[in-house]
Amino acid sequence: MNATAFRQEIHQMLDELPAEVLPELVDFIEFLRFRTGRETPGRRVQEAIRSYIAGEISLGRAAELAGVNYFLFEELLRKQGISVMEPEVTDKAEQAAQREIADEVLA
Amino acid sequence: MKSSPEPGRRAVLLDANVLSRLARVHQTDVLPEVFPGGCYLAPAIYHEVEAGLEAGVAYLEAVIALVGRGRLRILSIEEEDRDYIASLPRKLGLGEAEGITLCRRLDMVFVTHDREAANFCDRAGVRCLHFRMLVDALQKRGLLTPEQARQALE
Repeated sequence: MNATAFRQEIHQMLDELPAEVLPELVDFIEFLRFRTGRETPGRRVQEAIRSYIAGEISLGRAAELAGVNYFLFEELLRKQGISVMEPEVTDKAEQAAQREIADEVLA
Repeated sequence: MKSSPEPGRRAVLLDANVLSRLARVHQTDVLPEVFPGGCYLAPAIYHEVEAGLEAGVAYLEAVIALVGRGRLRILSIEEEDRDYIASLPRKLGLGEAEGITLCRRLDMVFVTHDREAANFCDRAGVRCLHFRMLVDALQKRGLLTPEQARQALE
C-alpha cells in the first residue's frame, strides 16, 4: 500500500470513530509523538509536571494527570533533568524518628 | 495476582519509586534480604509495574521476577480500605493511596521517595521510611556501592 492509500484508509477509520473517543485519541497520539521523540510533551503532561514541581501533587498523581504510566513519567522527568521531590527531614526529631523506623524494619 | 497472610509490624509496603530506583541499578533482590518482616505491594502499584513492562520499561522485569518467586507479595484491598482511599486527598495517586491505606490498616511501614506521600503519612499517623534512609542502610551493609547509591537517588 502506498502512502496516499494508507492515509486515505486512516482518514476513513477516523471518520467512522464516535466523536466521544476523539479527545482520548488525540491525547494518545500526542503521547506517541512524545515517546517517539517527535515532539515535546503535550499540554497535559506539561501541566502535570508543573503541578508536581510546585509540590501540589505526588509523582503518582502527576503520572495519572499526564495519562502516562508511572515509570514512563519518571523517565520523562529524568530526561528533562527535573529533580525528584523527595521527602524532607527538617529537624532532629524527624531524623530520630526515621532512624527508629529503620532500626525496627531493617535486618 | 497473589494475596498473602497478614503481614506483621516489621513488614514494609514499597512505593513504585523504590522499585524503579533499585531496579535501575539491578538491586531489587536485596529488598527481601534487608526487610525480614516481608516486602509487600499495593495492587495498583503492581498493575502499574505490569503496564510499565508492557510499555517497554525493561528493568521492571526484575520486579515481576521477585513477585514470581514469592519474595515480594501483593496485598488485597478490602471493602473498608475503599472507603478510606476515597477519602484521601486528590493530590495522591491511586498506588500511593492504596499503599498508605494498607499500611494504616495493617500497621506496616510505607517506604517511599515521594514528598507528598511521605507528608501525608505523617499527617495520617502512618509510619513511613524515606528511600534515602534505605539507600544509606544498604550502602552501610555493603549491598549498594557508592555509585549505585548515587544513581538510585538521582
